[in-house]
Amino acid sequence: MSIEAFESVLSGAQAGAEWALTILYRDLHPRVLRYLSVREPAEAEDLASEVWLDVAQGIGRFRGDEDGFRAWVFTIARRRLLDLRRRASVRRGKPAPLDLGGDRGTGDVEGEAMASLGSDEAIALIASLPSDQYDVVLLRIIGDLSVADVARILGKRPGAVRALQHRALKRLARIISREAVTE
Amino acid sequence: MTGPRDLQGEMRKLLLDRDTADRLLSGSVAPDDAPPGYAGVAGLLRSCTRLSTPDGKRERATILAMTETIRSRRSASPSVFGRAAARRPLRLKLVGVGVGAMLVGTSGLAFAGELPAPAQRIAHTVFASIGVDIPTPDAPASPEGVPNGSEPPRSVEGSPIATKGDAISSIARNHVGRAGAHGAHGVTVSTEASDGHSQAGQPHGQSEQPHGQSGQPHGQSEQPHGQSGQPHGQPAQPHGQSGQPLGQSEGPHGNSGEPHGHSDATHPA
Repeated sequence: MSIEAFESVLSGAQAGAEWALTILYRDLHPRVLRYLSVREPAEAEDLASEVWLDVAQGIGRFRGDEDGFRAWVFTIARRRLLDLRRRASVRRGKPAPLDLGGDRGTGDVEGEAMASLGSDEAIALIASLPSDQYDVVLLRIIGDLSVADVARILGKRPGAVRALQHRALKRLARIISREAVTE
Repeated sequence: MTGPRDLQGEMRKLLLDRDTADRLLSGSVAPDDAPPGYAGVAGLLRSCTRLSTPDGKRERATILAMTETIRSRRSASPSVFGRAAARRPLRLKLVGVGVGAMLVGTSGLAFAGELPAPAQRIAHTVFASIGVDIPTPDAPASPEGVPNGSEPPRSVEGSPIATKGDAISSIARNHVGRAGAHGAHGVTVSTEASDGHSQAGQPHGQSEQPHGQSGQPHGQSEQPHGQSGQPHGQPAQPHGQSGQPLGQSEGPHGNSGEPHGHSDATHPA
């Protein structure tokens, strides 16, 4: 979406225009829902609805561009997740370790095998990362957020986020090659 | 079993620079383009970016709820701009009161001749343009005209008249007040007096000030209860004396003593 288009959509949404809210919702909801569902599969839909109601309550005060808007929505989503956990003392239910199955080789074959995974399976594999690395990878890949935005959402410095994402990628590479070797 | 050489090879294989990490995490690296050892990661991350399509029914309900929320918030509470606008009249009132107080204070000081000289000059000019005469800062206080042993002339309010301006102002006020009371036309007294003209051309040619003549150019009355001496309807003399020579007031009520001679109605009949 161009800057001008986003501005007109945003002002329409701030005025309560249904068309504008629909555009924003369709643009962001799948990512928000994915993010929530990998963290709280059972509550994801309800949490996503709450996130959008929070967006509706605060959108009048929002100032910024499209990236800023996305980061703001994910900030709300993460806050909702934390609230839910605080309230219910729910332990994060990591998805079961992924059974990658099938023949997987190394190199390009391995890459193709990974690319052919369903997104749920891919998320399940990422869920085997330590929690902080998992957060960073999810927000970067699902939220499509920059390092700076992720740093703001997680309350970390950008350098720390870069270090976490670097470790996460290395670990994933090791996990995939190990699993490929063992199978 | 993995030997040291294999480990070194694996470490080398997993080297990853910052930019590549960023590109991998944005899902923009195809497995074929990934650095050695990261083809699987690239494929994995790409598959994460495949998102499901939203549920239409839930989408509709959520958007309706959002619309209602936004509209109710907008109608229930004024916006930030609305609140600012609501505060604006109060601010305007405060500013108005402040400006009004300042004007009153400044005008008072101007009439009293207490403003700093430049400001007093400006005030003099401004007020003169609307027909109100106020003292100029350079109007000297008259050393003459004050009867020996007597107090300096006083205005009606009883404050000493220190300068010509004070005297003019005092006369103007008193005269106007009287004119109002008697229905006479004394309004121009002050202006006339400031120009050194007598106000003797008043319709009935009488000074309304029983003790002293207003408008004498050099302002001294020798007649204790001097009249302006102008017959009914006679025009004022060029310099408006009521036939009084330049001189000092000698009479007990022949006040003024001002350089441009204004009787001060200190002793009304």
